[in-house]
Amino acid sequence: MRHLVGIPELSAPELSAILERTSEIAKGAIFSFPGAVALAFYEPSTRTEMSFLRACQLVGAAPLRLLPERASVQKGEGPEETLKTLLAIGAQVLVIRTPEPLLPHRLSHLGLSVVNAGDGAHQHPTQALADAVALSRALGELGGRRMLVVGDHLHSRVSRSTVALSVRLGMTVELAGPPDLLPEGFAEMLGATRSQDFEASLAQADVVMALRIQMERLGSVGAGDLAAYRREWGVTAERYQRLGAQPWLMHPGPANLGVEIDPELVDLPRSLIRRQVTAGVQVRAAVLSLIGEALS
Amino acid sequence: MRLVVQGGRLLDPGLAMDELGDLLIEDGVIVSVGGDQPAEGALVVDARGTAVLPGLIDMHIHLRQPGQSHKETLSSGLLAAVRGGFTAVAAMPNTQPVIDSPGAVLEIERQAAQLGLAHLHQLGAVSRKSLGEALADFAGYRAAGVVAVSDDGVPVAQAGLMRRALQHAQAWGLVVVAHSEEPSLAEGGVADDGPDAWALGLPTQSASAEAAMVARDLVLAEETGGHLHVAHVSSRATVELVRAAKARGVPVSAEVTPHHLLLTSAELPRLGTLAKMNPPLRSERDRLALIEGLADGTIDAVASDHAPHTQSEKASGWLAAPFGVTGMETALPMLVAGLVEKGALPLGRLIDAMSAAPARILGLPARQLAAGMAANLTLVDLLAPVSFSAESLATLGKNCPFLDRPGLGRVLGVVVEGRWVAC
Repeated sequence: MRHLVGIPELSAPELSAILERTSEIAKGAIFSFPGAVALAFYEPSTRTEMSFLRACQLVGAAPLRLLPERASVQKGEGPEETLKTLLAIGAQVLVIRTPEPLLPHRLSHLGLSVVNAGDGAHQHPTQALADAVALSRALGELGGRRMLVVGDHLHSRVSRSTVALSVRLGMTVELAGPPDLLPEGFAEMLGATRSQDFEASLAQADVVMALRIQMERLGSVGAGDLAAYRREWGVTAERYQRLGAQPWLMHPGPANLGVEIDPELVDLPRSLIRRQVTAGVQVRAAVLSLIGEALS
Repeated sequence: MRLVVQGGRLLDPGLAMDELGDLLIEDGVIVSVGGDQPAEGALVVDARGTAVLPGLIDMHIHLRQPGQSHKETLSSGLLAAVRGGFTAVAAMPNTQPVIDSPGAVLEIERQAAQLGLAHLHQLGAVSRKSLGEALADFAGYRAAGVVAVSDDGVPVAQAGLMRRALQHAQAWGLVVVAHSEEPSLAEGGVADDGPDAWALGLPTQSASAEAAMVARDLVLAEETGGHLHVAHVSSRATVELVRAAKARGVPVSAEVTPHHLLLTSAELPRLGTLAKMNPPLRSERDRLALIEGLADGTIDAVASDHAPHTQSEKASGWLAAPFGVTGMETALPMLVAGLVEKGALPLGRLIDAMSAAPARILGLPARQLAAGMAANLTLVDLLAPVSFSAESLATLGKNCPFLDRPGLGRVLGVVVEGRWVAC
């Protein structure tokens, strides 16, 4: 594979190759990509950027970090220019995080391999792949399993990526959330269905993922708004303990603990939240090494 | 000065005219229609094999002078108008600075007149600097011959100011052209609120952002008697509001663009930011309602909303790129191929919507192939297939969503107030 821009663009052979390579890396196999990987994060990110840096180390690639607050982007340089400069410097892969939807797609035609690390509310494919890997390690075969994803879908690239990939892997996916953040028709667009009853869907789910609530999306965002959100849509300890068969727990991070998910749930044995992060490093190493092979 | 347009198919839906014959023009006025006209001492335009239409008017375009001549100049824009078959255009005042005084209107019209291309009717802003705060000088506009006012590009957000604008428009015989968008519903949206935009993670604006503002303005127009013209109608909801308002006699007219008639949000992935315009492309259901509204006369006119931008501006991404596409040169051929040829709209209705209707709305000299009328004509071979490329367009704005799409109708030239302007 040359690029990873989004789940819809990912071919079936590419998907199999990534999953297989990830499991080999998890078992300790070494794949080397002695190239240079530029990391351009135009939005703040801790875990994704750290995860890509660690992935570079695992495959022996040299990471080149572009710091937008110091870079010529502050002087009005367009992303195409930046990319061509990176190419001239000797980078072979660009890992990009940007608020601009579809920018990674556009840049993928300019000669450098592009890995999308999040483009606005559009796609975050390595997160979806990490989620799928962490989940299949817990559940085994994913086909026919039930996933519930709750939160702000409208502004979430994780929803668009992880839900699409889970559906593609044969899961039955339900979406829940406030009506303005999960508009009519949104779930169907992703091949999922809209939950009619959050509590009932929770009771049936094999896994539940809470999405990060962006505080500015909740209107005036007083404490009352957050309390109301938690009351209606929170994966709370009380709600969770009440369930007969407890579903696996996921969150793409960073979590607003005590709002979309309660802090005491994060490190339960049935929580995959840390394992999602670990899988993320392995998936990213797998992607970089596969791109490296395609380039050589 | 005599001009004979010889042997063309004289096509005027308003007069139910469709016949072969000549047109004799003297001193800018049609003096005789049909049959053989004496050509001695006259300039002869050979119109055999082409249709001769009442002169087309594009009542909603953006030229970028003053201030943004890297996007378009008067000469490139008015040449594009001629290439599109337009004898006259009405330009929005959202230049830099905004054209918000009678003097500024007269100055730009003076410059345009020297070019000898299409006739420019320059609109004045509704409010000073189009800030939506202080009303511009409507009486002065009228004295300067201004036909309409608009803050296009932005809505008149304050209902109180819009009401006063319509009162002044009523008093001075002006038309208020409304860019209808309720700001709290549009909220930075770059595409229609629906699955096509959601799939791409784009911020959206709902059709209600348009319709809610149109509803407000229809109430104000009904109350004040001021003529409201709804620009670039994009949604089914707006069509229904305008239809109901017309039925109860509200002084309202409306226009629709070729891109809203021919494209939907399903084209977002293919077109990229060439599908970024305001209002946005909407659903197929909306598109069909627009065609129906145009066919039944709820929507009076077709206008291009020609909005030139540079390639690099449009290439700056979905969030950063400016709104708008160009369309003067492609409007007629795309609509003939995309609607008329497919049986979705009668040719006569399209011609009316692009000539007589905008003349009526703006109070311009009537567009008719009849003796005594100002000689404004469009010569077009309606059977000739055409296609466009960035290089072939006269406009500096290559941001056209219809490049490489087959069109029908090759424009040979226009007669502007008796003056032959070949393409």
